[in-house]
Amino acid sequence: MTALAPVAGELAPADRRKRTGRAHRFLRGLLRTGVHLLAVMFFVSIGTFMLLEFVPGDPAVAVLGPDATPQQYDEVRAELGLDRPLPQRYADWLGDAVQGDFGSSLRPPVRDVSGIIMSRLPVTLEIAGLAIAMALAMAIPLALWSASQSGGPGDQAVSATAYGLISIPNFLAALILIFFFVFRPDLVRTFVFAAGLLIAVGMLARRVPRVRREHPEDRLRSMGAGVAGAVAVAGIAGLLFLSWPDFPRQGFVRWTDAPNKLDNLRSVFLPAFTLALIEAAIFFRVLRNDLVTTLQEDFVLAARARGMPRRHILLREALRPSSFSLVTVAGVSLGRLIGAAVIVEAVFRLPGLGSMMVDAVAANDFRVVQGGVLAISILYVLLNLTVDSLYKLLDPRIRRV
Amino acid sequence: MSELLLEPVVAPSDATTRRRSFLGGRAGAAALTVASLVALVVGIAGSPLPLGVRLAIAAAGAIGAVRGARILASDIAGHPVDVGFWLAAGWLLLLLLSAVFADLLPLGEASDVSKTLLEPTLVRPDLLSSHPLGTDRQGLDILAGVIYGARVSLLVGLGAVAIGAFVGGAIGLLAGFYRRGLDRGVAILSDSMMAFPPLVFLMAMVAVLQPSARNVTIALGIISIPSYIRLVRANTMTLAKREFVLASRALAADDRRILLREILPNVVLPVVSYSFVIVAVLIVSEATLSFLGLSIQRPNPTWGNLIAAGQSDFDQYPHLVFGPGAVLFITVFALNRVGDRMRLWWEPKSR
Amino acid sequence: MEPTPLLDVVDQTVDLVTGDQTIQPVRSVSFQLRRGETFGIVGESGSGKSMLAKSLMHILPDNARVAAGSSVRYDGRRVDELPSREARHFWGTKMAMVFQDPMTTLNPVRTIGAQMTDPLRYHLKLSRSAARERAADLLARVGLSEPKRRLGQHPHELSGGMRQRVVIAMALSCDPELVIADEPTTALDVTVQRQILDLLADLRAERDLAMVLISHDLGLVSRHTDRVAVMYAGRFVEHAASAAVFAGEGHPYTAALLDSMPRFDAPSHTRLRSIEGRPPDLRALPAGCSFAPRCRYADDRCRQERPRLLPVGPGHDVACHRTEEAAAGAGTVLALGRDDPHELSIEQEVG
Repeated sequence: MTALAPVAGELAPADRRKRTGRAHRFLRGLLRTGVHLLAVMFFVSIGTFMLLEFVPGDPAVAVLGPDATPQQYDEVRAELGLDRPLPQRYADWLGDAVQGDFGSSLRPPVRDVSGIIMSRLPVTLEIAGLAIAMALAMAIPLALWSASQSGGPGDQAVSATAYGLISIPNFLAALILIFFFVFRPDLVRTFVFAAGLLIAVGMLARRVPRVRREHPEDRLRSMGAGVAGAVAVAGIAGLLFLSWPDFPRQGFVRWTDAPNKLDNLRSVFLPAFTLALIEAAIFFRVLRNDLVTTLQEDFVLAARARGMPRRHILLREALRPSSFSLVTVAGVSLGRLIGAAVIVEAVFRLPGLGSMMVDAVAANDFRVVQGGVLAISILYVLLNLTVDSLYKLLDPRIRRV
Repeated sequence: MSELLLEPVVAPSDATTRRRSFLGGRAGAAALTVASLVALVVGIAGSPLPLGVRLAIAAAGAIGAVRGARILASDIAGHPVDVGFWLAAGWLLLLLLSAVFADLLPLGEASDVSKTLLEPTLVRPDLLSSHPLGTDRQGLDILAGVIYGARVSLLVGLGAVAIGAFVGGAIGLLAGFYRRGLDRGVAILSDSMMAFPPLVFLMAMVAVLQPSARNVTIALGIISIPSYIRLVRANTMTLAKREFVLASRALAADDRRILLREILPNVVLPVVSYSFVIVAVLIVSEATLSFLGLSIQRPNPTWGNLIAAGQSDFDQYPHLVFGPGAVLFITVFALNRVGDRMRLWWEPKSR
Repeated sequence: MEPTPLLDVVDQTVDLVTGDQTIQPVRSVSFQLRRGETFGIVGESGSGKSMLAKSLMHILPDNARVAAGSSVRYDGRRVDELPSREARHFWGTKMAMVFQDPMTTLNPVRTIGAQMTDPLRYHLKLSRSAARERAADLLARVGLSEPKRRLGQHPHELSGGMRQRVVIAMALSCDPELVIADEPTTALDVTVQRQILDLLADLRAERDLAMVLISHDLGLVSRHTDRVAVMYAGRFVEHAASAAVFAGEGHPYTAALLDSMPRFDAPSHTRLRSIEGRPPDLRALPAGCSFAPRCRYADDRCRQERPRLLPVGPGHDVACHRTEEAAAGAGTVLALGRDDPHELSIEQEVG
């Protein structure tokens, strides 16, 4: 028997580096992203501030229209600080903003801009948060299922649908959903019920060949499990059909105000679902393609050779490496989501940041517009930092570099 | 907008399908196509049937028709034919021609309310009548509105892309070629700006500049500049390292000559194919703005403001929203389809 | 009485669907393996040896299938007809596989410990801590220092040789009776190759494992196996005890392989010999013997009639008309002689 001395001397080179300052590297990467994002905020703030310079004519007139009193015009001009030179105005405004004072709105009723923003922010956050959660909940299982059937009819159907969904503009999607969910709810109920039944039947059909391959003793148990699953799905479909909630065309019931929390959820479901559908389509495409690539890797083959079942392969072996691209895309989608939330709030007439912006733009209330843009960019920066750190934490390969 | 830089994945019916020989061969495919077209027509026009059933039939018909046509065409041609691409290109051509020659077409009245005082209002679509897509509350013809709206969308989209491509392209070309300090700054700037929600920017811009076609075009053009910078810069950097540029340098060609003769022609193709997808995004942005009332206003019809106007009645008269909506969707879809396919052809393979 | 062979493969054939064609990378392969025996399979890339291994381990790609008429029996039972309860825990426990490149066959984002404990917990139903204990023991057995620490590391933190040891440990984790090693040392440095092969030999002896060793290196295989089969274009063309194969008196392809091996005792600047021609295109196989286009002994019969695998000596099967003729004593002198010092020649006196 040859000497099998432990290969102690073979310390892989990467090992030695690992000890030194992993935390340093992590922080450094974070800092770099932070600088990037600060650059964004800087340019955004300058950009919006400079916009005021491009207003043709007297800004005060632009805001109030031609029929206001001279006193009102003066008030607006004072608020905008038009008597001071430009750099000083910017410095003042930025200084105030950093302390949380975004000025006052220019149009009556005159309110604190930061107050308006704070009252509107939770609405937008709730919709965006729900949208992301729903999108992930829809996209991840579908992508897993689709990738495991890569090329098959199910995969083709879902992929084609996702491709189509991406081409639908947000406001149109919102209107389509309103048409079906609010104006023709019976159609939707029936569709959901029929879909549920179809899925249940499909599950049973796929069970049968599996059951046949079982040992005679196990067949009953296996069939029973299959039937239980199918009945559960059909049961849920039936339940939905019978107690389908009533979705409002517009309006928002705040979580804090609502006696019945479900009212809040009902008013938020359609807007969030609109956003979620399109985000889900994008997540699905990215994740599915990544999974298909990953599933062709050698380590998946090796895991199959070890006899690991399909579910394990999909969830444990393939999902982890593929999830990194998903996180990247999710990060990018935040920017898109914020923009999309604006539209959706307008269509559903929800009191969020988006509709605040739309109304302010229509009314030429520049202070509110500036404050809104700044607030949104802060939100954007925070979200991106979070996603970026998450990304760095998850990938062991990046962690060490 | 940065999601556009994801790898183009053409609709999966092309490359990833496991090829299976089709049952019934050519005759079977032809039968499928015809049957599906019939189903499509029934779905669109057959009013006695309930809406849900019609939708399902129409959807099945559309899918079957495209499928059958693809198998048939591939069989006849002897090599795979991407029917979806050609259909999409055909639609875009049709749209372009209608928009250009709108004045010559026998359309109803699109914008002047005084001319429609005697027209029936809120007519449902009837493909064979004088109002194929119906009329609105004021008797204005929807189809005419859609076609004139197409004009706006195309003008704004193409105009903005022109601005973005020329300005962004020039910056990207210089940054990618000369590198040095300028490049880092440009890279950071354009990368950071790209993912920031463009709509928010647009709204701010529109707040200041009054809504007009020209202002909207300029604003959208500015928004698209970072995307083009990034695209052209990346392509230029790759190209500048390749042998034919080095060979040019060896022949003592000056920088400007290299840029114009060697690099620019090779950058043009990816830019063109990418632009299709960007035009789609810009059309959506313009439609969104006009939907919100922040872009071109009535009486000039745009897809966005047509849909917005239809909101109040579309419970009973869905055609007000879904007519222009369908055209908008199909156009965006077609642009994406064509753009993705072209990107696959022309994207430099140095990836 | 001979005990039942552990593995009995009869007429294993694999159909692979690519595009519109179906090719057969593995055709009518038959062999038996007894407990403790080592069987080698040698062939160039494209000979079908990896596909054969995958077909035995039930991990063929989606577009490949074992053809009807093939049968694989393990301990007398057909493995394709195992009921699910047993099939679930068969591969990975009774039969295990060691792959070629340990960098790609280990999941880069999961720890070694996680990957090793997976089969232990799934197949052997061990608890987490018990599985970790056992995994650490296995790592120590294959020669890794600090096994407990390794469990928490990721593959890229280990060197190539260490990774392959991990792969071997994983293959042995559920006490298989048969191990298929597909080019286990090809991706490793020469110095490490020896260590790994020695490790495999030790483990085999210790656990009375049956092993299938697949490689393109005939010399390596002959030294470590009891019997060898040479594979060409999906078929076994020679099948005998290792010493007999290494003597080079069988199939011309084997002789050519042996001939192309560089030898230490050759004078310096001896040219390396290679086999003329290229491996055959499986989509357009020649009629008759697949090796005929490259064989210097091929005659018309070889080109028209496919030779079958027939005995030319005790326990020595060859699929070659010329060799058969020579063995039967009827036929011309088959001299594989050359001018080199390590001449291998068959000279049969014509009776």
